[in-house]
Amino acid sequence: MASIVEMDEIYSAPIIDVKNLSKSYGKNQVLNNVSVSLKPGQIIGLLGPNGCGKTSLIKILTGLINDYSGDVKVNGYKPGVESKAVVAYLPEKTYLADWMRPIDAINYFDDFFADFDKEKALAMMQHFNLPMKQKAKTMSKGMQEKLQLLLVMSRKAKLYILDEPLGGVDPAARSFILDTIMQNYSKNSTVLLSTHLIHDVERIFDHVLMIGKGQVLLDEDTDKLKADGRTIEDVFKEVFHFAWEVN
Amino acid sequence: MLGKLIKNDFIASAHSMLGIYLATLAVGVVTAITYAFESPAIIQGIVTVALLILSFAILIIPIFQLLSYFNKSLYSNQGYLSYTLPVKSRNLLFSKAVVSFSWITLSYAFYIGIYTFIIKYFFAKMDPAILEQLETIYDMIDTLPDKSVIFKVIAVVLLLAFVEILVLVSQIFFSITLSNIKPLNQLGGAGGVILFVAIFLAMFTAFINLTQYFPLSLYVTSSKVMLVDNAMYGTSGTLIGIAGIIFQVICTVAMFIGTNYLMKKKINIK
Repeated sequence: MASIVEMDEIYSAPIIDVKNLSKSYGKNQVLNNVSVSLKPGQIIGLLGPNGCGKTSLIKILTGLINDYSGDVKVNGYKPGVESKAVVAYLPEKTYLADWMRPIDAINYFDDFFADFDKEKALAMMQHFNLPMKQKAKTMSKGMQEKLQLLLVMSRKAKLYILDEPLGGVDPAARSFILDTIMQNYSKNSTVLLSTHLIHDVERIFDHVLMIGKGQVLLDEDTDKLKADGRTIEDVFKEVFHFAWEVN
Repeated sequence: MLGKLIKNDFIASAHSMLGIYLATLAVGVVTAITYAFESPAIIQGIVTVALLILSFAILIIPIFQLLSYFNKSLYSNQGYLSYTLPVKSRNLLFSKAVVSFSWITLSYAFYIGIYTFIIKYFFAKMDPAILEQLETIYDMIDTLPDKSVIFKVIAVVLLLAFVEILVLVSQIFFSITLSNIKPLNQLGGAGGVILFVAIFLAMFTAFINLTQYFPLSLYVTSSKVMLVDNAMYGTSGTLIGIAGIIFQVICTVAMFIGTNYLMKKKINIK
């Protein structure tokens, strides 16, 4: 049985630990010597304008990009089988095969993810009014996004990585997506949510990480940022106005 | 996890593969009915030609469908799901290899089945001499003093067929994977096809040359299987160059290892 000191160490061990991470596409350097260590049990906003390197960082964390330099650990492991087992990832893109119906997708997740709660997924499917047997190719983009959201949020993952879940949807849908995330994520887990739409989500963040021009421009708890009455959006405008000027 | 991968790859690929098999089966049944009820020759001819066309299609179409399935499931948007599953890249590859191998083998089996049917019922009807020739072959097999030879011949032929299927699968996987890596990914969808043709031709040329310059071969006839020197045999049976086969096996293993390395270290899912 672990002692209190050991438990404290386990709890405070970073869920994401990145050291000197660099990634470029040809001459275009998207991440430049990034180092960041994120504690578990928080909702973290990964903020930055389009094309700043947020998605590249997420793809490296989830094991979709492998040719980078630097040291990356997720829950203590390099991106691989062990880390993927504890990461629930919602990409920007719809990744379901055309033939898949919601019930097929649920069975698929149930096969591969030990932390997947099939009963919860089936309940969410009904709640979302998704027809069990409609093929993905005949669904609207909104329905496909709902299906992917329910698949991800039906896992009891240690880390949820949500890449621009609010992008390209109307305000009502944004509210629905945020509510779904807040009601369904495991309370001891970590949520890393990337967005450039700060106004809608800043209330939920415990911590924010702002990335611009391939570098971490700000890595701070929201309590400290809001101490002088500013909003995250105000801070964002200050940081990126400054960042664009120096770059 | 490997079992689950194979199961799900079978389910996924079946959606594009089953159509061609079902169509062939349906036409096969219709053809059999037309023969059983002695329908007019014109109808028998039409359904037999349809079956013949399908028999060619069943050899070619599954290869393109598997090529497309491999590319889609790993290197299109579906790659976001495949590569974030808690499985090793070698298991992803192995599963797709098993599934592709199985479908192509099934295609070959269908092809052979269709031809046996057509020769037995259609061509033999047109020319009774064909039926007599078939019966002569059956009689020859019956009169063989050692029937185990025929099983050896079948085993060698099957083994070589399996090797050829594996070679084909490894060439397809390696070409597609390589075509998804910079700078070859700039060629787009054509990149995989160009690479496949280049690898296929290079390996075929090497196979021919190795068979010619390293003369040890497997000599296969309906009555014996033996190792021989090319110079001594080659008139009444089939010579299979051992050096060429060994080269193909080594290349196949290298291409699977190479594909796994690229999947693990070099692929960037767009």
